[in-house]
Amino acid sequence: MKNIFHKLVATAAVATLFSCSDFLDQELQGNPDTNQYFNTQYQLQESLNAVYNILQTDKYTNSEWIFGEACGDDVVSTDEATTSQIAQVVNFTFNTSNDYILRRYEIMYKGINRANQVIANAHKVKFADADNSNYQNVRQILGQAKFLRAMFYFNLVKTFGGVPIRPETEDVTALTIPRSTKEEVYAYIEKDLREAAIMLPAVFTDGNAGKVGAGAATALLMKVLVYQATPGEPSDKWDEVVRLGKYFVGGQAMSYAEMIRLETYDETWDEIHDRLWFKPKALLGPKDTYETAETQMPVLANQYNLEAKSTYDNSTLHYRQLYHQAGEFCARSVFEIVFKESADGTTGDSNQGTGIVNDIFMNRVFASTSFRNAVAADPRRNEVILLHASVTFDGERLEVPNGRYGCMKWYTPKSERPREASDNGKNRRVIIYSDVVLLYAEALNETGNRMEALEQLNSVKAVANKITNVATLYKAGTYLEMRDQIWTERRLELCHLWDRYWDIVRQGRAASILHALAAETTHMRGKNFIEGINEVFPIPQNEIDITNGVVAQNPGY
Amino acid sequence: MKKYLFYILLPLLAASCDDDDKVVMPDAEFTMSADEVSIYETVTYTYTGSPSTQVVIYTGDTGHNFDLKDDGNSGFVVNDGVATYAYKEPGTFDVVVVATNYDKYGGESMMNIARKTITVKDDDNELRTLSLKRDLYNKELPAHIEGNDILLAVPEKVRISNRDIAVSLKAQRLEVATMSANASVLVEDAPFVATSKYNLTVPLKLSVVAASGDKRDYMIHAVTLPSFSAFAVGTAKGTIAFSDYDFDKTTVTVTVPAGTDLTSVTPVFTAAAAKRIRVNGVDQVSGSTAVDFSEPVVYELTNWEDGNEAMACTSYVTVTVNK
Repeated sequence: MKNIFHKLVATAAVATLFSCSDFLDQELQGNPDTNQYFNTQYQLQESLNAVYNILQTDKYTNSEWIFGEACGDDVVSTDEATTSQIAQVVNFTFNTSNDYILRRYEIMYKGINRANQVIANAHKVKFADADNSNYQNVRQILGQAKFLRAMFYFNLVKTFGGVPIRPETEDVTALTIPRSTKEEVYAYIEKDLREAAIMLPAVFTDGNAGKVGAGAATALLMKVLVYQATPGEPSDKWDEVVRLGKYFVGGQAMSYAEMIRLETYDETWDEIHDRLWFKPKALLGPKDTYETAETQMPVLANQYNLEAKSTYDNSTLHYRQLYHQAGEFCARSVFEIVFKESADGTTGDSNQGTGIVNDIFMNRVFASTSFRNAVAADPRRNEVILLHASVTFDGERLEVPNGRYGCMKWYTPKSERPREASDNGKNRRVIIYSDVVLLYAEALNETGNRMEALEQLNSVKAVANKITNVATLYKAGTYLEMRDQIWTERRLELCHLWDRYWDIVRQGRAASILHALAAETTHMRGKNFIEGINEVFPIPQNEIDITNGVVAQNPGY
Repeated sequence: MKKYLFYILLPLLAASCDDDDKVVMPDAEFTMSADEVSIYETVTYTYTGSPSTQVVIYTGDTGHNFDLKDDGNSGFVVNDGVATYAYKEPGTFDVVVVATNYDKYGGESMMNIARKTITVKDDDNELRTLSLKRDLYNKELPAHIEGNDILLAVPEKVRISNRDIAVSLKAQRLEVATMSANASVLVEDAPFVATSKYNLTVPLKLSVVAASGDKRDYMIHAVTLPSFSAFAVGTAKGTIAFSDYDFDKTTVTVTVPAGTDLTSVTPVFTAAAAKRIRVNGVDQVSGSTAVDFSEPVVYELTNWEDGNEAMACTSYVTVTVNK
C-alpha cells in the first residue's frame, strides 16, 4: 500500500511537472512565433513589407531631409538660428549626445534588423509544389531585402564612416559588435547590391510598382561605387561605374558573372545560384531553364529615359511632373518611396506620411540665395524655385513666408492634395534617372573619356533646355572644367532631393562650400564645418556607453 | 546568540535607513587622456570620483566655460563615466567636472567640482592645395604637392574657344589653401596676397605658419609642359593643336603627298622646352630618327627643372601622318 502510495505521489508529481511545463510551453492560439512565421512566401512577403515600412516612418523621413538637405547649401531653414537639436546638427555645433544623430543611427539599424530577419528566415519557407514561380517569388523578396539592407548600411556609412555589421541571426550572448572599417562596410553593401541586381527583374510595374528592381539596385550600386572613389584619383571604382554605365545607360550586355564579379567569390556559381534561390538543378522540370553565370542581365536602357510618359494615362510628362503624381514610377524615376493617403481621409495612420514634405515646403525649409544664384540663368529655374505670392503653374498663390522661395519639387499640386492634410500622398523620389546618367558622366571624366562625358552631360541638359526652348549646352574642357560642369549640373538637376549634402561631402568640397554659405545668414551656418572632421558625424554617445566603448568614437569628437 | 545578532545588525539597519534620506557629498575626480593636445584631437575624460546622481563636464572653451555658466555657458552630461571632446580653438582651458547628488525628492543637493587645465595647440602647418586659376582663363591647374615640393606643370598654351592662348609664367596669381584655418601663408617671407602676381620662372619659397608659430617651408617649382612648336615631314608642315580636354595632350596632323612610304619617315621637329623626346621608350632626334607612321604615333615630351630631375612632367603628342 505504502509503495503504491509512493508511486502514485511520484506519478502525480511527474504529471504535475509535465503539465506545468506543458502549460508554460502553450502558445497563444493564432499567434505564430518566429519559428513558424516564415512558413509561406506570403508571410515572407509580409516581413519584407515591414522593411519597406521603415522608409515610410517619420523618423526615417525626418532624418533624410535634416541630414541630406538642411545640412547642405541649397536651402536655409527658418529654425536654424535657434539652439534646437536640429539647429545644432545643421550648424555643426552638436555634441555626441545629439538626439537627431542618435535617431538616424537607430532607424537605420531598425531597418537592417528587419531586413536581416527576412534574409535569415527565408529557408523556412515551404512550397506547395516545385513550380519555378515559387522560387522566383522568394528570390525577388530576398533581392529586395538585400537592396534595402544595403541602402540602410549606405546611409550609415556615409553618415558615420565604418559601423558595426550586425550578423543576420543575432546571438544574445554576442550583442556587442565592434565597428567594421569603412571599406568592409562598403564591400558588404556592394555584395548585397550586386546579388540583388541578378535576383530582381529590371523593374516592377502595375500593382507591383514601387518595389525595387535590378534598375534601382544597379543605380544605387553606381552611387555606392562613386562614394568610395575620390575625385581626381584613379580608382577601379571609377572603372566599375563606367562599366555599369555602359550597361545601364548605353545598353551594353552584361552577364550575371560580370554583375556579381564572380571572380571575387569563394563559392562556385552553382553554390551562389542555389543560395540566391534560383531553382536548383536537381529540381528543374522539363520547361525550366538553368541560369548559368553567363545568363544576361535584363536590359535596363529601354526601361529608363530622360523624358517620359505617364504610367497612368500615357500623356507626355512635363519636366516638373516627375515630382507629381502623374510622374510616379515613370521612366525618369528609378527608385521612389511610396506614400499614400488614407482612403477615407482620416488621420490615425501616422506611418503613411505626416505631411512632412508639406510642412518643410510651407513652413520650414526654403531655397538659399546661393542656390537661387546658381539656378538664375537656367531653364529649370521657375520649375524648381518660386517666390512667395507668385502664381504656381496650377494657378494658386504660393503662400510660403514673405520673401522666401519655395522648393517646388516638394509642392503638391491642388489636384493631388490628400483629403487629410497630415497625410503625405506624395511619393518621395530617391533616385532619378538623370542622377544615373550624371554619375556615368562623372566616371567617364575621371577615367579620361572627356568627350563621352560631355555627351552624357549634355543629354541631361538638352532635356532641361526644352522647358524654355534654349540651346545652351556645356562645353568641352579639361578634367577640372568638365568636373565642375558635371557638379554644377548635378546641383541643378538633382536639387532638393535630399542628397545635396552627401554629394558635396563625397566630392570633398563640403568645407569650402559651407564656409562660403556662412556669409548668407547672420548666424553664419556653415562656418563651423571643420574639414577632415565633420565629413562624418560622431557615433552616438549612447552606443558608446551601451557597448562600454567597444564601438569607438570617430576622431575629432 | 540571536539577541547579539540583533544588536549588531540594528545600527546597520539604522545606518542604511539614514543613507536613503541623507544626501552625501560626492567626491568629484576625473582623468584626462592628455593635458596637452592638438586642435581637433579627441580628448577622453573619465570620471573616477564616487558614484553620484549626475556628472557634468565643462570643457572650458568658448560656450563651455564653467565660470560663465550663469551667462549661458553649458556643459555635457556624462552618462557612463566617459566623455569625449575635441577642441576647435587653440588656448589654455579650465576643464571642470561637476558631480551632484540629489535626494529622492530633488529638494536637497550636494555638489562638488574638480578642476584641471588643458592646453590646446594648433601646430598644423601643412599645405592643403595650391593651384593656378585666375590667370589661366578660369581653367584650373592644380599643383602636385610631394613633401615640401610643389610641382606646377604649366602648358605653353591653353585652348579657349578654338584659339590657343599662350600662358605666361612670369605673372601668375596663386590659389592657396592650408589644412588649418588658423594658419597663415608667406611667399618669400612676405605675407601672401591672393591678388598679387608672382614670377614662377624661378623656384619660389612658400611658407605655412601654424597658429602656434611653427613654420614649414615649401618650394614651388613651375615646369613648362613641353609641346612641339614645329613638326614637319619633308616639306609637309604639321598642324599643331592643343586639346580642349587635357593640358598634357596635343595633336599634330601632317598631310604628305600620295605615294609616300609611311613605314619609315624621318620627321623634323622643334620642342624648345622638351629635355627628352621619346617614342615607345626610344629617344628621338629631329631629322635623324625614323618612325613608322602607318598608325598614329604618340611622342612623349619630358621636361624638368634645370638641375632638378625630380621635378619633371611629361606631355603626350599624338602625331598622325595622312596621305
